[in-house]
Amino acid sequence: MERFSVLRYAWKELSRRRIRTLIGVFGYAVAVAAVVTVASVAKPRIQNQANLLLTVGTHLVGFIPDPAYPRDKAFGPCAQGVYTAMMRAETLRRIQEIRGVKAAAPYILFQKQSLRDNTTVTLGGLDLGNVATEINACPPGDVIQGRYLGPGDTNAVLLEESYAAAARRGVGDTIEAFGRTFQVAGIVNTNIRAARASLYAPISVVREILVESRCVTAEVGDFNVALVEVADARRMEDVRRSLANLLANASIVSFNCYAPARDAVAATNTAAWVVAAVIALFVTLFAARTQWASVVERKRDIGILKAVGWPSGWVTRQILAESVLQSLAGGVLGCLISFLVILLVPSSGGPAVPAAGSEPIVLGWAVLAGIALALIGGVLAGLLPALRAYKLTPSDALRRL
Amino acid sequence: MIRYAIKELSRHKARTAANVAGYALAVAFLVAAIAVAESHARKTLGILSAPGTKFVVFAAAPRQDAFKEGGPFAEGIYTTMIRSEEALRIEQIPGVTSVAPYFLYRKPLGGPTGFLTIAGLDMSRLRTWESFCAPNDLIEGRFVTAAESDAVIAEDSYARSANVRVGQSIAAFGRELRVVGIVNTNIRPVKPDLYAPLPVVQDIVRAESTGFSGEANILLVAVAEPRVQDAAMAAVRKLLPGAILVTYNCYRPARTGILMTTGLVWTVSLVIVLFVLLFAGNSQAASVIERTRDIAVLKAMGWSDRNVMQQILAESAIQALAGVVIGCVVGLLVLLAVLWSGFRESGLLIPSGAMGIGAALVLAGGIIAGAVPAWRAYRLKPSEALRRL
Repeated sequence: MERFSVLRYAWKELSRRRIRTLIGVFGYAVAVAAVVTVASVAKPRIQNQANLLLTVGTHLVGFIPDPAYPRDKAFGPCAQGVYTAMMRAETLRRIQEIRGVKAAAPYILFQKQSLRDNTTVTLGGLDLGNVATEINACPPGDVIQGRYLGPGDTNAVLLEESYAAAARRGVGDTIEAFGRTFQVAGIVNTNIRAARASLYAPISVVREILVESRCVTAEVGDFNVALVEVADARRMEDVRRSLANLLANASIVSFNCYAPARDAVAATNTAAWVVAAVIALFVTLFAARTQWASVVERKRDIGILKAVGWPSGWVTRQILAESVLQSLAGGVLGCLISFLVILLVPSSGGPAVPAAGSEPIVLGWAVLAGIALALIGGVLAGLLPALRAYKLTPSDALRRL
Repeated sequence: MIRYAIKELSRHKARTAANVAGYALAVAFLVAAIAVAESHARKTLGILSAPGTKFVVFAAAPRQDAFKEGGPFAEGIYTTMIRSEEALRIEQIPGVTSVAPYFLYRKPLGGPTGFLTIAGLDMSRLRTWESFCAPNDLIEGRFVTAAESDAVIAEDSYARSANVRVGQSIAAFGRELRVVGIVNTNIRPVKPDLYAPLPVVQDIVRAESTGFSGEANILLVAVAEPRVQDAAMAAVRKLLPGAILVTYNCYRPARTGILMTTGLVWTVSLVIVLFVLLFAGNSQAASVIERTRDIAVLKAMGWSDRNVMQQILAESAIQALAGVVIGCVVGLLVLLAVLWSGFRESGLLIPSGAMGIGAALVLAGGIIAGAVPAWRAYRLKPSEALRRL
């Protein structure tokens, strides 16, 4: 019997028993649709979660403590409570080139003590518009009153909420600090940040003040704190090491929360694999069951085929051909079902993380995997009864009905 | 009727086994997939409850006369003292798991040489300290104990700039303080140079002031998980108008991460339930279709339509029930296999809820799917059925 006629007979047999065939095809379709739907629904959501969580706490702040700084000046560049050395623009460029660094911003943190009332005021110089500034120092979203700074602001400042409360200043007031009179443009609460200051101004303004006050000369450097944003929580340790190599004797501080966020992403990936394995197992088993059920019901037909003189090999091939045809048809139908189900499932909700919209609704590899699993299950389950049918004598098969 | 049903089922052993296997697979799939998804949601909540769910509370004050030179200090400014009743009231806020008093005192070192800060830790609430200063932040030496009155731990940045080592004594705040350990707490709020037990710092400040009220100037508040933090912070602001709250920024993405995970688990579970219903319906439809011939024979023998329908429904119910029981057992075995293969740390639990819901759904799905062909059988003419074979 030629291959062509195997298919032709299989087709004839399948169309002779329309309802049974439909149910068999539907069994495969449900199996394929389960794989395709779960994968297509879960994939973009897992991706969104990873995109979000892998940027949690991926902030590094580097500065070089300077124990030799003359403390009797009572003012100077500082960070985390210690006076620091200045760094050059060239250093920043080299930080930006470290693999895994998403952005790096220069920052000046300038501290001044008042001997009269034992208070300290710090001024932060923001490199406006830089991602690393916004994430590590003061983003526009931290403004709780008034407005954020623009590039043209030469005498406007932002006040940290705690400092505004202590100095009793509000938006629109003027404040004397660092030998200048500033206009309060906005009040911010930047929460826990290594770059936290009392007042914030554009970095160019702070650089001028630094030179005017004869704190440091312009040749020494452009900034004293490097704000570094790492692209992915999984690269934090690497970037931290490279940064430590680049900045000799530097202190590098970071948030601790990148680790749990990274662990949560790893947990999601593990769970996704386990669920995928469970689905693959059950879909294969279900396809096998569909095939097994159809062969069980056809014992009588097989007996008849044998009785009319079909050799056993033909019978086996016939059964396998039918199962392949049904599972392929089921695969196509399954994709259609899956498409409809995905349209019904509510969209992922949560935050609007972009890039999810551009993904295809049904994942191509999931379609292939689903059909492959259905085929494997179908052929495996078809093989066993087919082999039994191979050995079956017609009289046996017909007697048992 | 049930006797006939069982007789009929045992006559077609292979067919019955195939049908029961269909139900069993559906239930086992539901149990295993939902158990993994649920335990994943629980695990993520566990991991993401940790970061950022702490905040500090303090209120700004002009320099107080009660303090000679320095004063209670937080985040760059001098603060008021907070009374212990206020801590108790904050502890009552839903979602707040712990409130610890923290006394941060700053003093000029005399002359224009800078300041020194010391923080008093409530040693009975070390769990609250995990995000501030805790034994696992130690990089050298040991942590202070509540009984020590002259021991301090130093922050790494201070120890470096002041060239202080473990075992050394420093003269500060009018006494000799022995450094027993060095910590690096990374980026933390209200970070001091030195840490000591709370009563020690209270003693130090009492000696340097003309008396003060309250036990501390800062409250460290821990909340259960990121989803309740905004509400807890709003409640504290209401309780202490004018207070300044400083928190970690990462609780917000952590909260979004938790919401995304629960959303994902719900969606996947929903999709799985849907397909399990389809699986069950498919099994049932297959079994009834194959029985058309038997039904016709029964009818030809004179069984009433009602009897035939009851018979079919009884057979479906018995098969579905057997399938559900076997499915639960298989599902549990798969879960054990998953556990055995290293998913242990996730705290995978036997999902009694998922099992119950799964069993009910599959039974319902099976019986509904059985009802349609049963209705067809009810109206079937024996001659027609026998002709179609």
